[in-house]
Amino acid sequence: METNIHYTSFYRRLLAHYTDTLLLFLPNLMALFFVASTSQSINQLVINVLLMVATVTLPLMILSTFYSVLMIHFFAATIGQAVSGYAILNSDGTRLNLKRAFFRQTVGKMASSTMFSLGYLSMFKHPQKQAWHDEMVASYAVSRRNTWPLAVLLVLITLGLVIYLLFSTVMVFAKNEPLKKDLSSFSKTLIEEFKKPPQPSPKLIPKYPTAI
Amino acid sequence: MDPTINKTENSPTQPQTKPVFIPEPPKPGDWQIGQMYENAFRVAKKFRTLWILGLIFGAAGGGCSFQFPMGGGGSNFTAPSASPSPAISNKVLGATSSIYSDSFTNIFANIPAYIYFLIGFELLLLIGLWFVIFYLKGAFANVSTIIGTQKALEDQKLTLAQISQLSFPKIKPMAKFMALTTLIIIPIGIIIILLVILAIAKIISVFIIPIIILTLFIFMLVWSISLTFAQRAISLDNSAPMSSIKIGFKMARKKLFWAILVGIINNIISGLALFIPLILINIALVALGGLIGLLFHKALLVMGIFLGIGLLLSMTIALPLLSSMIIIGKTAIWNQAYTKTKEIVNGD
Repeated sequence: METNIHYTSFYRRLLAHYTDTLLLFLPNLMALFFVASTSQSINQLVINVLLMVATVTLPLMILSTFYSVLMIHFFAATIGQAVSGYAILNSDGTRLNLKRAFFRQTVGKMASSTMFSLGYLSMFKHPQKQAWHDEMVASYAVSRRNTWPLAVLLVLITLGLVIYLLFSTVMVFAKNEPLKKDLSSFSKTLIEEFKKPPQPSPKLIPKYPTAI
Repeated sequence: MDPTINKTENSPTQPQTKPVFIPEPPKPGDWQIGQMYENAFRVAKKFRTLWILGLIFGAAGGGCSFQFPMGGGGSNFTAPSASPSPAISNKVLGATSSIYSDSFTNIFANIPAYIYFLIGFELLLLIGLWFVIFYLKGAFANVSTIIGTQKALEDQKLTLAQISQLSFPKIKPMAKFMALTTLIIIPIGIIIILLVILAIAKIISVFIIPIIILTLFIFMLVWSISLTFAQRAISLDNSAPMSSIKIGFKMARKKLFWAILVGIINNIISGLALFIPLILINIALVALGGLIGLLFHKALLVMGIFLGIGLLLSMTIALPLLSSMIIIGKTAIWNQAYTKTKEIVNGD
């Protein structure tokens, strides 16, 4: 690597991480808000929740792995990293190939998370600010633009949205009278059934004609 | 090794000298266990980069050094659930119905089938993805620990980046090897389970069970020693997965007794190394806590905090570090054992 290169600091990388995490979390909250506002009964609620899991939560869990791998391979940065103004590059300044990007984002990051994220904290000591997952694939986080205030702004906006959506979801649930009624009647039935004294098991009486 | 005595000729003019013991030079293939442990201790203590690999290895839950099964894994046993109370289940002439199960059945009966299908498919995909990642992590942990330790034994101080670069080409064969060994062990396991079931059902003699257990024990012993050598054949000598198993078996046959001995010593040392500090820390903490409790009557909170912090630190930092050092030590021992045994196998 050239000598005039600026390696990205731990804090800026943390900022990018939060930006990406919040951006990926947002669709889940939107879906939850949709569930809260459209479910009028328990049946509907269960269907909607399962639908949310099937169409948003699980696909996002799968895609989040490929998202960072593909973004780093094709654009050298995820959205958070691009907004924070840095890129993940090889020592010769080229983009990571698919294998290395996958290894970095999966095995490498798992390794870095070991023992209170010691691998991430190693950035503080490293001369080129490499974490363990960077060292493993010989990648470098190189600063390109000084746009970190934009990332802070994006994090704040996303955080605001997350809080707003969470609050709105709780409020919608609280104001959903038909659902509340259905839930309370359902729970009442269950509690009453539970409180009933144990019934003796009915004896089997043979219905054969008895000889008199 | 029998020491040979080099007796100097006593002539009347020369002063009488003590006989000098010259140890017999080691034959090729001799393990020299004392030397091996000395080297392992030096490597585990000196090369701090290897601690990182040990930590990764520990987190990956891999098994690159042969160990006897000592339990400790999370038990999947769950107590059979109590029978439902009469209030919940109403038995009417043999037919069982429950208001709970009825209510939940009603709820879940209305869910379209495609949602179940979709969730099932996605869960399978997710599990598959995690499986691949964990396999890769295990393969990397195995290869990098073996290579890094070998380089350290040769007194080469490599960085994590250098070790990773050396390990990358070996990840694929190691992952294949891990898959292959799983594929080999599964049918054997199924056959053993079938034999046990047949014996229990009295289709075959019950006396066969101890024979099965004994055979299984011997097989597992030879198998795990062979795998330990096979992993080194892949990582250090670029062997193909299948041929590495053959090499492993060959080596295990040559040095079975010594390998078992080293396995026992390894387990004793690692057990002592892990448990003695833990016991000492706990004794110190309890003593400190008791002292504080005696000095300040109302200092139970402080005592609790001290105990808590001490235990937390020992459990979360000291023990993983210690176990990572132990992993490196064991790897170093098996690496040396592999190198020495290779001399005989190659000589044959």
